[in-house]
Amino acid sequence: MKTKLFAVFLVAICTILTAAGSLLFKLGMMNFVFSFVGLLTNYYLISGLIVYGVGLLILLFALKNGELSVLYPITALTYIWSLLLAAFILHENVSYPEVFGVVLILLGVSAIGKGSMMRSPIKIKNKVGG
Amino acid sequence: METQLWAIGLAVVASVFTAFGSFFMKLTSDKTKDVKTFFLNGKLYIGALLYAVATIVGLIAYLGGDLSIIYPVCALSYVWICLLSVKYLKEEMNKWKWMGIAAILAGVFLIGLGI
Repeated sequence: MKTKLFAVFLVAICTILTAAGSLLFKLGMMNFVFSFVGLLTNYYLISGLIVYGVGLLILLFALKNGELSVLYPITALTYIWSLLLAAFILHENVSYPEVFGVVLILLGVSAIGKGSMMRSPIKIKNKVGG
Repeated sequence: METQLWAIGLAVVASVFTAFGSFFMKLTSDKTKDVKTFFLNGKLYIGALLYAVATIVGLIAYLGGDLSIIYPVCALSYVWICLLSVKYLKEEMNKWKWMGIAAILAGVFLIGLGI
């Protein structure tokens, strides 16, 4: 299945939504009140859930229209967005090892995506050999 | 706030639940022919429940750590999903997947070192 361009676009949108969702969750837990009313009025948590849910639906739809080897690495973009959001909105200390770690994760997810594409040479040999 | 070790531990646990949740979602979508089979499939609800548990555990983790540290830990779910697919879905391991797993583990380790 050829990956359609709009699937790539959708996954990119999904990554922004997922990162935003995690930011909202973090904000929600920073203002966390453990009570029934506290949870109902924690608008950060509620909006985080909605944003996450929408992102997941978009992702499921996009996966139907594209190959994992292409779409998987794009999903790893959320870690970059979350680092940026954490640094600029939450003013967290983002150190060089953390940035390098996220780069490694990106490479790792890309590798797994590519690995999911590979056909086993043994299978092909059996087909040809008859 | 300095990130606590227990928060990272919870994030790891959350990544495991996420992976199993995705696994059941994949099982569900494999058997889905139309809307009816989708919603009647018990595995859908198991997957949703696993995702819910993953979310709750992850939220508790946020109580004890920075977003920039806790969130990347959930990338471990890619590792678990890969291993689950090989063990239960008869997918095959290859050197790309091994390298990918190693890179993600190294990346999460580096991020964990940051605390």
